[in-house]
Formats: sequence, C-alpha cells, structure tokens
Amino acid sequence: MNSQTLISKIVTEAMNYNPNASIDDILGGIFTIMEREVLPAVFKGVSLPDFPSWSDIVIESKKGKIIRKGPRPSTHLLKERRLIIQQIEYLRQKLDWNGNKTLTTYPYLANFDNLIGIPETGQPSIKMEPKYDGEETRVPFIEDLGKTYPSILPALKPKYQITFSNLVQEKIISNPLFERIFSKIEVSLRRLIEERNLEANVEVFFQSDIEIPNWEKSVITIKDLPLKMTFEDKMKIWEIFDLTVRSRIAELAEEMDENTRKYLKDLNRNLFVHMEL
Amino acid sequence: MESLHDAIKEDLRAAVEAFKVDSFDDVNIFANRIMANAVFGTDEKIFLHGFFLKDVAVTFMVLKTRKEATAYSTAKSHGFGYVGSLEKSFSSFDEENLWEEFHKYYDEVRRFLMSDFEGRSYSNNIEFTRNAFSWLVKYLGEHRDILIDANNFLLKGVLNEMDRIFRVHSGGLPEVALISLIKALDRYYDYFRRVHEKPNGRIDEEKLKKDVFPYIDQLEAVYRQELKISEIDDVLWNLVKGWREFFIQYMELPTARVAFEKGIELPPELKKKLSESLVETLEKKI
Repeated sequence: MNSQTLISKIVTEAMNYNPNASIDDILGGIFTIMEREVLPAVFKGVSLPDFPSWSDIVIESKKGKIIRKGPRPSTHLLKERRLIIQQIEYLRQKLDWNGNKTLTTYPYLANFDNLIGIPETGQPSIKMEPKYDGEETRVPFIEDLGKTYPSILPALKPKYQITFSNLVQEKIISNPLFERIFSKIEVSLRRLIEERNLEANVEVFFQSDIEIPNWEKSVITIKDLPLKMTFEDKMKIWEIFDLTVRSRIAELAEEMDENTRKYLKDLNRNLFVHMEL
Repeated sequence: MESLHDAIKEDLRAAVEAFKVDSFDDVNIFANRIMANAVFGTDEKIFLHGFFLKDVAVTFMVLKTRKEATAYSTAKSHGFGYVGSLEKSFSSFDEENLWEEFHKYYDEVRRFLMSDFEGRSYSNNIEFTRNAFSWLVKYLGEHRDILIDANNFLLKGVLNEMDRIFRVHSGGLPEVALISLIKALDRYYDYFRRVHEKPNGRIDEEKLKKDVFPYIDQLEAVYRQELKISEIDDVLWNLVKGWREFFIQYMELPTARVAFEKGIELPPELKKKLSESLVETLEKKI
C-alpha cells in the first residue's frame, strides 16, 4: 500500500466527513485519532518474532568468525531487533495491555541472559528502559473531580488502621474540645507510622475501674507489630508514641485558656499509651 | 409500600455495616440502590436517605485515599454517627429534619477535607460563601448555552468552585441544597449529553432546552429561597429519577474525558486500513 496515497485519502475522507471543519481542525483531529486509537491499535496488534537472547547473539558472532565465505550473519541486526521488541513491549506495558501467551513478554522479563556474559558497554540490557518520546505525563482522564465521580479514584488502602471504640466516637461527636485534641493526636500518630513505615495498628478506647467507676482512662494501644521485632525496638517505638502524644497535648495547652488547660492536664494524667508485646 | 420500606431499611443496614469496615465503594452501591428502589415505589421522597448516603460514601472515599496524614478516624466518627442517624430516622420521615442533619454533618466533615495549610489559615466566612454562590448560580444561568457544547465542563466547573469555597469558609443550608442539586443535575446531564450528542460535537439543543434548562431556572429559584424544602426535594427527585432511569438504559458511564479531543471523525474502515498498513510496515522492519 502506498502510504502517500493513504494519507491523502485520509485527509480527503476526513474533510468530506466533516464539511464544516477547518484544515487545522482536520489535522488536529487526525493527530488525536493517531495518538489515541491508531497507534495503540498498531502496537497492540503487531505480532513479534522470537526475542533474540544474548546467547543467540554470541552464537551468531562465533559463526561469523568460523564461516569466512558467504554473507556474514549480522549480530547488530539481532541487537537492533532485540531493542525494538523491548521498546514495543514497553509501550504495550504503558498502554495497560494484558497481552496473550503467544507474544514475547517472557524474554523481556527474563534475566537469564546475564549467565552468558555481561553485555558490552552501551548494549541494551534487560533493566534498561527503552526511551519513549511521547508525553508520558499526559493524563487523559480528569482526576481532580473525584468528589463527584468515585469510580475514578485510585483504590489505595492504608497499610495500617487507627480505630476508635464506639464510646470514643460518641465523645468525639458530642465534645468539640475532645474532638480537637484527638484529631491532632491522630494526625501525629499517622505521620509517625507513615514516616517510619511502621507495621502497626492503633486502637483508642476508654477504660474505667470497677472500684472507681467515675474514673475514666483513655487508652491508646499500639498493636500488631511484626513478630520478629525485638523487645528493645518495641520499647523504643512505645517511647516515641508516648512522647509524641504528650508533646501534642502540651502544644495545644499553650494555645488554650486556663479552664481548658486544666481539662488537658486531667486528660494527660488519665491517658495511657500501651504497647501490645 | 411496606415491602419497599423493608427493602430500603435493609439497604441502610448494609450501608452501616459497610461503613464500619471502611468499604465505601459498597456504601456508594447501597446508596444507589436506595435511590433506585425509591423509583420502583410510590413513596418517592425516601430517596433522600440514599442521596445523602452517597455523599457520605464519596467524601470518605476521598478522605481514605489522601496522601498526607489526616484525622481520618476522627472524621469517620462524625460520618458513622451520621450514617447511624440516617438509619434511625427512616421510620419517622421528616424531610426538613433530614436536611438540617445533613447540613450539620456536611459542615462538620468539610473541616477534615481541608489541607493542613487550609486548616491553619481559613476561618468561617458565610457572607463570602453566599456572595460567591450567588455569583456562580447567576453565571450558570447566563452561560447555560455552553451546555450545548459536548466538550463543556460547566457544571463540574461550578461545582468545583462551590466545593472549595464551602470547604474552607463553611456555608448554610441553602448552599448545601444548591450544591446537592447541582451534583444531581451533573449526574443526570452526564448521561443526557451522551444520549443526545450529535456527530458535529453538539448536544441536541431542543432536547436540552426542554429537559435541562428548566432545572437551571429552578436552581436560581432555590437559591433566591423561593422554594421550600419539599419543593427542593421535588426537583431533586426528578433529577435522581431521571439519572436512575438513564442507568437502567445505559448502565455505568465511561470515565469522564478531558475536553481537548477534536470533533473530527475518521470512517472506521479507514482507521482499520491505516492500522493494518502501519502494522505491516512495522512487522517488515522487525
């Protein structure tokens, strides 16, 4: 098929199909269709030959040294084929294409080439990402309007949980000061866990004494730490948690009036950070 | 009637259970079910429980996926309290009270949607919110013709402004009612625009004037406070009913796309030929 004829045909048909569009609109539209539909279809549709391994290249180059007469097998063609296949597979990956078993995704991921020998400097290696000249950062979907459209939100799940007992939740709803204090504490605990990449869950609940029913303790329990963690490491974490909670309360007290400071002092006295060992 | 109430009670129960374990996708599904079930019955206003529940689900999906550390569990206490109260209030339906409770919840939880910088800097400024909303609803009324362009994002743009203003400056019940109506209109219009899009990239103008523009007038009336709560609910119900019927007809919509696509079409046969030609060339090259 003559590509020149095809291009002219595309432009002519597009103009016939969209009689009110300007030349710029036609060209812009064709480019958009090429980027969005035609090229992805091409890269997904092309069937690839076997992926030449480094052993194939080594064997070909040895053949070249032994066979003096006749056409010399070209190792650089194999290397070039290898690079093109890698680039196409890379683009397929970027296009979120699932592929099928008949295509050559397996050699692209395999690592056995290195057993044959370390590739020469500048040769394509398995780990090298082929260059992609398109705009990788172009985002074809609106993400910031997620409030109205839940289906386009990323499905991320936090690795840890901070849970409040029903009584703590009720107090948060009914007591704005308690809510303010615990929201500050919660943010600090989350930062602590995330910055240190800790594997831990936190539970917050009230505890009262059978003998003194009016005395209410607030308990923050750190739990589900990895079993392999040593006792010393766990104690260090407990110390950091305790210190963080107390200093957050102290910071809040600085901004408050006398009555609230007293409330905070009582809360601090009756707040315990426990560690599940 | 009783069977419908029983079904919706169970939808609400399922939503509470899903909320407890942070399964907000499921809360969203149960909320949609409540609204759909309301379509099948005659006691239409019970859709309100589903409408408010959907808002809760979407808000907590956003909070849960925030990158920065937030007081998520503290916010969830408010959310859980509200979802529980929705379940309890079902047997004694009072639409005024439902709106007041929703406004209270909405105003509580918006504080947790603020970034750290916003939380430390902004204070309530309801007068500003009211002025800005008046401007936006007037703007929407005056620029309604933009809705004819298939690539427009007018409703989402207005919602975006309203959302961020309410988030940092708070607002009253009329503002919450207005945001709710525009959200419902946007969901309805998202189907409408696809159903009535012409090949030239325009939406059917006659259909739009007949089926969508009257809602824009009603939005303005709501904000001028000419409509009572029960009348607001009637408008909201018509939008929700239309949206649920569209869902029955067309199911889930594809994700919203950005507007820079041109309204140029290539005949499918030509696209196919072009792809085949390029594949052939590429295969020869390898």
